[in-house]
Amino acid sequence: MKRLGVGEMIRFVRDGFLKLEGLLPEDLCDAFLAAYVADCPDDRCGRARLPVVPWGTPLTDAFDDNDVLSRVVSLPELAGAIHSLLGPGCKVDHHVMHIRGPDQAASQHLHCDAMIDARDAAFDIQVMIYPQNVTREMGGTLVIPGSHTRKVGETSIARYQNLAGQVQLTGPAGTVLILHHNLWHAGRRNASDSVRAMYKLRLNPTGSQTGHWDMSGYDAARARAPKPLHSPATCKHDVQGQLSFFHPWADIRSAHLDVIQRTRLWRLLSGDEEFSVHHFLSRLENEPA
Amino acid sequence: MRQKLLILYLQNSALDSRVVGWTRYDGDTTAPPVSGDEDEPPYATGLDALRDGWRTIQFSALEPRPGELSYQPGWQSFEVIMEKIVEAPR
Repeated sequence: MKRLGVGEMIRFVRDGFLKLEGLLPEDLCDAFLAAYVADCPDDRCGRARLPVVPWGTPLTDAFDDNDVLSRVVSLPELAGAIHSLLGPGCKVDHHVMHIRGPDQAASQHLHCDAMIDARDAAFDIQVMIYPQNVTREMGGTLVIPGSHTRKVGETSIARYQNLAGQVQLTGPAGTVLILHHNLWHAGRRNASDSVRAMYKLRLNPTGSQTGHWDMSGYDAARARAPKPLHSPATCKHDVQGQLSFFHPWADIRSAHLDVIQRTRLWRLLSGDEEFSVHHFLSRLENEPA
Repeated sequence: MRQKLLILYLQNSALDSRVVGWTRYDGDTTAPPVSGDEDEPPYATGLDALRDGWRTIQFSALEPRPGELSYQPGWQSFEVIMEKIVEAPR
């Protein structure tokens, strides 16, 4: 498998998602469409074609070898990303097919999947697979970068229609999104004349999520070294510089708290309990006796 | 008469701060509201909307955060709800 490197892990912690463009090869996209999507007009049809996978099934046991999905989750890049974020032995939470018909007038409301999640830093991931080209007109998934630090229940945030910096997924067939479970998202309206399909697989960790990524390019001491406040990121591997980013939709008060939550997430994934973006979290932990 | 609503989310509690999110509801059309299709806010600041004739009908309250949630970011903290009234078609 091909595990995620430090730059990809930083991006996941900062934005709450990774986009793997065109990851599935063409023949696998064709097989996926033939097995689960062809001639399906709606969600019900697509979902009926998926194999039944009870929650709690280890991912390694979830699909028969002759299921197309078995080939998908065995792709070295996808298997490596899942391992990097969740660690070994992850289990299936649920999977589902979304099929949106053409010429829609309405979109989904912005939401998170399921209720408020009280876990501190541990997280599930949602793998979203797009087996066909997705244009802007087709209404790919809307995601709000960095919103994974804002815990919400379901459609509590439905009133938010547009947020600065929002991302409308587009990409070639075989594109995969990997989302932190708490990322705000919505299915945009499909204004094209084509059916659009998206398969979603939610996965749960079963053990520690620390240190399963490719840490060969990571220098913990350098990541932890104090930097001037508000200094911009020097490169994609500059952990503090990247994680101190204020997303454009965030008000200033909450943007500082986002940085604290990202710091906690980085500590979980790196195992460095002394890491702090600037002095934001370490200052709050300073309680001399 | 029909009501149009413009809901702005601002960078801080000042009406002249930058718009970071926006929502529209239009009582004068039957088209459904749509999420995520617009790239640019309708106004740079809340004050710009006021100067264009939008009437403010509600601000989010200014209040301290509850202590037990102090390190958890909330959602959008600074919401302004604005309206315009238009004549209903005859």
